[in-house]
Amino acid sequence: MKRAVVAVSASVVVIIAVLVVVLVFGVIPLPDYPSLADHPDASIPGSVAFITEGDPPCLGVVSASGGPSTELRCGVVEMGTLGWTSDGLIITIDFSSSTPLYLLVDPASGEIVDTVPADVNEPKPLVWESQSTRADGAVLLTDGARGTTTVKVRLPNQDPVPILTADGPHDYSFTTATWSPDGQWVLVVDSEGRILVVGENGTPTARVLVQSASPWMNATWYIPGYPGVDLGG
Amino acid sequence: MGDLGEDLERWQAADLISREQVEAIIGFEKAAQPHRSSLIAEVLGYLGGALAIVALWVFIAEYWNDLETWAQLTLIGVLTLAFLSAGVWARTSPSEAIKRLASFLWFLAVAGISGWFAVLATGTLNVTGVATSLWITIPAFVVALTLWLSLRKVLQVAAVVGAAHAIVLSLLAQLKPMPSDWFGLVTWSIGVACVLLAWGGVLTPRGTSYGLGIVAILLGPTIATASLDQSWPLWLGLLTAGGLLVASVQLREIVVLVGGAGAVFVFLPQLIFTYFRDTLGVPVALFLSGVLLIAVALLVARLKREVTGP
Repeated sequence: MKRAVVAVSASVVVIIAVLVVVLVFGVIPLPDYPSLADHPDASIPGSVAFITEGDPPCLGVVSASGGPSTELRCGVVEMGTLGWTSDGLIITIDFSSSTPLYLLVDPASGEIVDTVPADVNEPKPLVWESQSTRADGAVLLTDGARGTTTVKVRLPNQDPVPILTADGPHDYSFTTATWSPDGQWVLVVDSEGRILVVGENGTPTARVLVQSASPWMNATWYIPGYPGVDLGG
Repeated sequence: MGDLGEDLERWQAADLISREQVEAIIGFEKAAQPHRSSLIAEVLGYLGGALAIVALWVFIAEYWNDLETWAQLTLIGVLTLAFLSAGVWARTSPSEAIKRLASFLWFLAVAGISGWFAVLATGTLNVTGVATSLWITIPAFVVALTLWLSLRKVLQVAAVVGAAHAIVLSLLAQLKPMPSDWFGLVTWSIGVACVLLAWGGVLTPRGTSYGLGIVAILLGPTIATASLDQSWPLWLGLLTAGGLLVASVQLREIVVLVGGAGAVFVFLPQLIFTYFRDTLGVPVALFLSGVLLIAVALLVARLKREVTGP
């Protein structure tokens, strides 16, 4: 009987000790950022299109200055295929038909206003290369190593300079970073699916524009007067 | 009776025991051994039962998504109740083979309970995400514990230990952010608890409980090392292995000795490769691992003599 009591006590101690270790060292809070939805900043120009996480994923749009976002359409958006035309229509791709189609979506109504046949095998990428490099050659880099993740700007012939650094759980990271069309702002998506806006040199500091975007799908920025994606159709 | 018969003949030839005693021992052992034909029948029975379950599973899976939620619940519920009821009947049988069947049926009943609550949570209560795991693991643990208290067999203690792992990890999974990288350490702690409870006579059958605990002790640090990308869990595993080897001599438990030796064989080479692969190179690290493992093997052989005793 005495042995049983010792065994139960020792088991409880071992499990509780490990749970305490896990709670202290394993549950590291996510970095917190101020919200642009709650406190819009009128100095930030343009609109941001994004894709929400869910089944099916949905296309959303929000004013880059903050405020509530609008869900436009669901079920016809695909990973990595989001952009803007020069005249302010959102581009996405519909793979549901035998010939993939670029869909041009009106950001005000969510209606499809035009379609353009896409290349069957390799539809043109709409966002990645063009929006991670600014006109002056400044390149955005995302980096992360066990709990600390960084967005850096590398100007030609210079060392990268961090503009945004965050500490969090080891699987927390900034997944993508893209320039605003005017090059004054950086749009960052983190592994929690939050879309952040930060100034080109780190000031103003990061603020959350959208809370629940897909962490592995891009968000893309439009400012009237700046060139968008040319589909060639 | 092969070896025993020869031994008895030798002992009789040496006048250690009489002819009557030899015949009495042989008669006793023959009566105690199950008939080979009944064992074959039992094995065939399990094989047939397993095939029938697989066939039923394939049949149900084909139409599963077409069934309404109430039909799914009814189907799993009826099967689970059948397993439970048949187990209640079987465990009172005088036949050991039928009693073993009761253990198998109740093990299936725990799986049935898990499935029933999974359908209830997702199909009826619209529970989503990690919260679903609690709806499955809590009832499974309660039922597994209840059945184990009634029938302390191998499969019942396996169900209890498995459900205990599931319930603790499910509870941790509710935290945000989920500390999934640390699940290996939690698995290790439950393994240690299993070994302790088996030693204390709380968790029975003892040998199976030691075995289940040792498996968790082997897996936990290995998982933690991979998920945390750090080497300290390997040291924890090796330390535990040392503890098991020492305890095996004290307890005279061969299962604990084998578990401790297995743990050394799992963790020691990993540690050597972690620290010396880059400095000494793979061939030297491999050689060093081999030499140390031979030393451990000699130590284990010596410990085995201590454990098994004179």
